[in-house]
Amino acid sequence: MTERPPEPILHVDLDAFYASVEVLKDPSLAGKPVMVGGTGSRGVVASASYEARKFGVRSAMPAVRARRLCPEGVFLPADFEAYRAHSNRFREVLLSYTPLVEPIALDEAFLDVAGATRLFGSPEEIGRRIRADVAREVGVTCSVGVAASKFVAKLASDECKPDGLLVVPAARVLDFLDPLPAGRLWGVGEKTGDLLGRLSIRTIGDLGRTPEPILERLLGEQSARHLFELSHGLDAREVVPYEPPRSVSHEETFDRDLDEDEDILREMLALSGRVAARLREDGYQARTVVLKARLANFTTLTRSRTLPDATDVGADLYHVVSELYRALPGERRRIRLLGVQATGLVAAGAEQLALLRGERWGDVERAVDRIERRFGRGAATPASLLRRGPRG
Amino acid sequence: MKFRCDRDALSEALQTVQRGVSSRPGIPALTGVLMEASDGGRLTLTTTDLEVSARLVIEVQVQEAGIALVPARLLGDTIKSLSDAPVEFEADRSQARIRCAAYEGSLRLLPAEDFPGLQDPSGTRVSVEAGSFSEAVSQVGRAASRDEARPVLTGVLLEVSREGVVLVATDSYRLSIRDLVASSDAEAKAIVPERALGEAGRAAGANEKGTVELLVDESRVSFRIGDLTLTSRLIEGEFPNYRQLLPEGHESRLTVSRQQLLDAVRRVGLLARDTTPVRVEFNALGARLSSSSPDLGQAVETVEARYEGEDLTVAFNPQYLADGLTAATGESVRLDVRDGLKPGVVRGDGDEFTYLVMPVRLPAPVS
Repeated sequence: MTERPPEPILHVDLDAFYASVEVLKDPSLAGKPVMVGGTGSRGVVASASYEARKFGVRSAMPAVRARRLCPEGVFLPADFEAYRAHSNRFREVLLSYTPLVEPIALDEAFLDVAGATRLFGSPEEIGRRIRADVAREVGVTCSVGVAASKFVAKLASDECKPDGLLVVPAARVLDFLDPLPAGRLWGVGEKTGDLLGRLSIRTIGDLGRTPEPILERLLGEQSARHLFELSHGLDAREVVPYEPPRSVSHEETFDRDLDEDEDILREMLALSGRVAARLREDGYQARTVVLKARLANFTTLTRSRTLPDATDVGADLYHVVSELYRALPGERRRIRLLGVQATGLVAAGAEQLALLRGERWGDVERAVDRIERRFGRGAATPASLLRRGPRG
Repeated sequence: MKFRCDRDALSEALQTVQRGVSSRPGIPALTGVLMEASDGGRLTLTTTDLEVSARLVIEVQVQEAGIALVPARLLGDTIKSLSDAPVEFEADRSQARIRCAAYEGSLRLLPAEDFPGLQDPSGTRVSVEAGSFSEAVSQVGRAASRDEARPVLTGVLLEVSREGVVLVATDSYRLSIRDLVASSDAEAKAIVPERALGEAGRAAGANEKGTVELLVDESRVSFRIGDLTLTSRLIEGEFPNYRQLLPEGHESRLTVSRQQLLDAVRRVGLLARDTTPVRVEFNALGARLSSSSPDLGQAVETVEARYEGEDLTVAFNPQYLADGLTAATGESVRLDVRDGLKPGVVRGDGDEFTYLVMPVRLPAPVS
């Protein structure tokens, strides 16, 4: 084992992510003040390009104000499909260095690269490589903070934004923190900031030099302890990699009990479709399918089957649950609740495409996903569900 | 029956007729080789597993014509182990006696009447050059499927016209097509099990200067290569309409040294896995190949080449791509690509061989 480097934590943050993606989509926007969100009258700016920030526009600012500050700015509606696609690329780059990646948002993540230094070099070197890879693979610049702890790494990436890299050596943490505004600490919002301001505590350094009992009286024991530790650069939280969900399920309780097979199967088709759409959206495939049926007398039956190949296709799920349903004991069941659960989830990795159509249903359902994203849920639906009337 | 022959000739002949014929222990007669000595000094050896059969004629000194069904494996091993001296073979109704130098052994026979009667197919007659037939078979065979769930794809389509034969194989992820110059007296279509065709290809390769005579009917095909005749049943069913899968024209084309690209695909492919294929970025410099697996490492290699078209990134299963580059012949290959979801097309120096390979869709294609 190589020794753990003193600054193994990276915080990687894409610069003006949504706005940058919009520029990638439409290169004629390059160099213009671009703002995403706030196209309606009451929205807020979700992301502003650095050109827009020159006008004083910040993210989370009400759109009305942003328009006043930057009347020539380009305001665009958010396109989360594109952001998510770029975000996935971003995550792929990060995961190519270490499995210890903790995503915080679509555009930022923490990495613990202690185990990756032998393969890729020092944390700083890894930061440099990530910046180059992200620029190439995602097409967006990013900023990287390298430090001994998560919160210092985060502050470091904020400091070097945009398009920068900053290493805060473990021995220099206090020097780094000292001049920064106290408001930059996690847990210091407007209210706490005001309280601290009353005692002339403006910087993190001021905070660190304030005796703990005084902070306690001002903020209460817990917050005081927390801020005192942070201001001394102490943050023991580990990088927690993303844990995939264990299952995806949908269930429905009916206004009146269902007793016609035709109706029951139709509901199972709808539930299977929703579970599959969710699997595809989250990028998973399921090995095991579970049918849950609660009868009118409140008996709950569950049946499951494991498939030879994982699937994210509703028609496949339906095929299984309908067979499980038909195999239930008894006849003329009165059904109060039906549920379809997909479990044994595996990440839907890269998929070898076929020349010959074998997976027609999968293709159809993916096309329906695209239609629904564009025109809303229910815009395309299996014919057998057409007369079912609207449901939640 | 009784004959005398050279040990090497008999040993080689026995190996030839046993190759490609699977042993079926359930049916004793099929574990045997049928030996027929005729007065013209000819010994005919026949094996079959009911799907494929092999028949080879060699010259021996026949002292007494006759027929015997001998356990093939045991006989083959015995003859192979004999010292380099003339072999004397003699059989009566129940056993065969083998003498060679100081060795003398006897093998119990199988009942010859249980051996299935085999007839050559009578149908379309095709004649091709053995060398190019052998090359064509090895080019397309790789693309045939090993998955018995779709039997049609485990075979190779032979499409016979007056001008030639087209060999086609696909496992639905890639597709190989090879045009072969041939002379034929009619048109025909046959789906030949890849295993049997591969055996015919190997035999033709050993007899490069000769010709291969094919006979095709509704249910069988036979290949006559020198003194060897291989017969196979055909796979029933409809082969996919491969012509409609062929893209018309091309949008972006890489022209590259075949060996360089092949070597790079193999090297970079070492760090690829099912979920992390090899990415190929096509740009003005050529092709930049990369792969990375979080728990293994990563690799990048740029192959300089001529590229005409828009910058593109397409991901491939490295094995599939390497198979196509191996099968294409010549110094350089052309690789036509369209986008990350349409097949890439590999062609060698000439136009007689075409290989389609479907890309791998990455988890989140940028829309």
